[in-house]
Amino acid sequence: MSLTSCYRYILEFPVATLNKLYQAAMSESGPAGMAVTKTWDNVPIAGYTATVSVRPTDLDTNPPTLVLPPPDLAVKPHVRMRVEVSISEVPELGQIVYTVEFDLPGVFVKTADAPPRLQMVFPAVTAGALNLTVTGGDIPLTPELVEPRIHALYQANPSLAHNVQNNVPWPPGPDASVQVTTDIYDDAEGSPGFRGRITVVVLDATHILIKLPGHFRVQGISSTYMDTDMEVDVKVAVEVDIALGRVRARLDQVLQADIAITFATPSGNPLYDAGAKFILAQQMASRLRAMTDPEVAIPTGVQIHDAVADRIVVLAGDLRVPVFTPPAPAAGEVDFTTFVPTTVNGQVLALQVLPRNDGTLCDPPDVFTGTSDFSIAVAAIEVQPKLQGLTQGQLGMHNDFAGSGHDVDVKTLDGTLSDPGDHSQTDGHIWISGSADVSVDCWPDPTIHFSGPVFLDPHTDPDGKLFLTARAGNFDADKPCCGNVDPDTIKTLVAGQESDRFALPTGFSGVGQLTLTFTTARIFAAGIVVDGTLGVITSHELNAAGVRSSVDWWFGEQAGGG
Amino acid sequence: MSKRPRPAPKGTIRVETERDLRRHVRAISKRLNENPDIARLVFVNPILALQDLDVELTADVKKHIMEALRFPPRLRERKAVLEQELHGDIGELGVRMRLPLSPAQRGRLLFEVLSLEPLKEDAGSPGRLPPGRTPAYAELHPVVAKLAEYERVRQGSVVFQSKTSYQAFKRGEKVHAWLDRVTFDV
Repeated sequence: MSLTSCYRYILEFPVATLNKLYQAAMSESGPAGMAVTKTWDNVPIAGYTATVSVRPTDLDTNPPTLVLPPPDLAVKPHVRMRVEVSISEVPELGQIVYTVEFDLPGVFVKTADAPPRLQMVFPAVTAGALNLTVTGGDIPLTPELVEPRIHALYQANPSLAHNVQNNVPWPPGPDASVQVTTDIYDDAEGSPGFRGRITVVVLDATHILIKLPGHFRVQGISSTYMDTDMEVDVKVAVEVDIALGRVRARLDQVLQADIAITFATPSGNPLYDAGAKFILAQQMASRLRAMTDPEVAIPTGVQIHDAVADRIVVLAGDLRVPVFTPPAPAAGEVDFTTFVPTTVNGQVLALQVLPRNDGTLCDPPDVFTGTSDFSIAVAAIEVQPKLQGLTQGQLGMHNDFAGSGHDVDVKTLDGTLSDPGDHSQTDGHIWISGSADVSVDCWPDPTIHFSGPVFLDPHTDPDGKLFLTARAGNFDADKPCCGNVDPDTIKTLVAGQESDRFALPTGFSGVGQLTLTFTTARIFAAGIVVDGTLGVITSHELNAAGVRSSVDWWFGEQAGGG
Repeated sequence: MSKRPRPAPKGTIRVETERDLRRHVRAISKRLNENPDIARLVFVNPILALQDLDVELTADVKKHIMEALRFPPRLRERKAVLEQELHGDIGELGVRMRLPLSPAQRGRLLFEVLSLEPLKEDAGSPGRLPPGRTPAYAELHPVVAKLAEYERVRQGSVVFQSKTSYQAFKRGEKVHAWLDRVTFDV
């Protein structure tokens, strides 16, 4: 393991940052046309054909995440999607909505484009590897779904349309028994002599009300007790069985109490009306229970699961999730397009930049990111020349050094990258050492030999380039002198000095605009690690801010989906 | 073949005049180079450092060394210029004060003549301001800025330490963190 292996730079993104990029990509998928939102027509589902639509869902409440499995460059995002299924053969079924969650085993690949891009691709996904779970699938109960089956039932059961029963006991009297004639109408709308048509009202997710218009007549020997139009309302439970794949109206469970009857012309005798309703409800319940339950066949849960898995495999084959797109390097900039991706310990995605080509052993890079969004390790061979700016400009004569009235001639001034623990310093540092002649009157000029630690603070210049300023250590050492020639002031030669610029690009197009901001610099003998924060402004957000034209774009221009 | 440097002469070196100092400077420098732990202490207190090397100095020579180190020519010139300018500036403000100012004079100049508001740190001694506090007001008025510079220059480029502090350095209880060693060209 080494800081930068056989490369000059390594840019590392921990899983948390990859999640941030992945979530931004998913949130952009719709408007950006990324192939994660898709609709297929004529999808076969166990004898049916269906239109199936998928799109990411619950991105805010259940942000998608990913993991880095052990094989190098392996990545496994977890995806949550909304799946809408419309069965062509049962249009009245409406849209059935499922929520599916699954893993998407894939790999990071560097494309051959110019500039190259880093993407997640999923070329070898199998249904079995998805760990697919399907929830939801509630059947939206509608009148349109049930009514045709009730009309069919009416046609198949003529006794429902017209029924005459003789010698029916008639407790109100004076006849002991009567003839009861029941007619139920289900005339086609607009038909000649239209009398009425059966309709269905949805009461709740599991119950419907079947409204049966008709006529009711009670005829005795001496008189007609009732002769009126009516409406019979039957409350029926509806059962949705995903396992068996059916929606079933349970007529077999209809009870007398489930039936309510309204007479258009009551008899005027409450006893007649009550008796008639009792008899009629009893008859209707009995007759309905004897009929075959109307059913609507739907795909079973297993069939839906398999069909969705099949669609996801198809979707995965086309899916490209953008991760990182370095800009083409400007003159003098570090060429990040040379990146070679690798994943380390399931913890980070490392982009190895600029091979050293000097015989340095290539080994897995260190995981050097801590809690920062990203870290860039810079090899000592790149850092050391840049640090010349901290020291070399200070060589030579400093007249009236630090306002002391004395001239100081700096003869030597060098800095060496040093590991934590070296020179009794807890943190890594640059060990500065040098010598200077101090001019004094009436005495040979003393030469002071000095050394001390310097730490580095990273900054970004207006051009977006990284530079480091030196912060001298031991500032808090006992400082007894209050005059100007405290020998410790020699460190002001270095403190605050700026390194040469590291031409690291800080803006990356990938998912909208990525901006790297440098926050801390850690020093090692093998190089430095600069940590920072990563800002993701999605294309959607940039569009809203009206700044789209000022940045580089991945979506639309490079994503292949826009 | 390089010539091996001769060791510093043994015994006490007595310096009674500036001429003696010039005469013995080479020998004293050798002693400093041969005693690097003492040589480091010349920036703490050169007189005490020389005494540790068995160099006896008269009061006049001590004063000469201290003045020379504290006030190099450039600093003396700057002090003179500032003194002259401040006399003029303060006079133009309609008051007569001699430099250096006492805390009471400084307080009067800043808080009465220039009507500056005392900072809360100075509220404890109304109307007075010690010299170390002048820089806190330097940005508020150009005359105060000049006065702050004058008071800093007047201290000299080095303020040498007391014997107690010197001993603490000698015992290693105090250090100049960045100073490794001091050598003299002999």
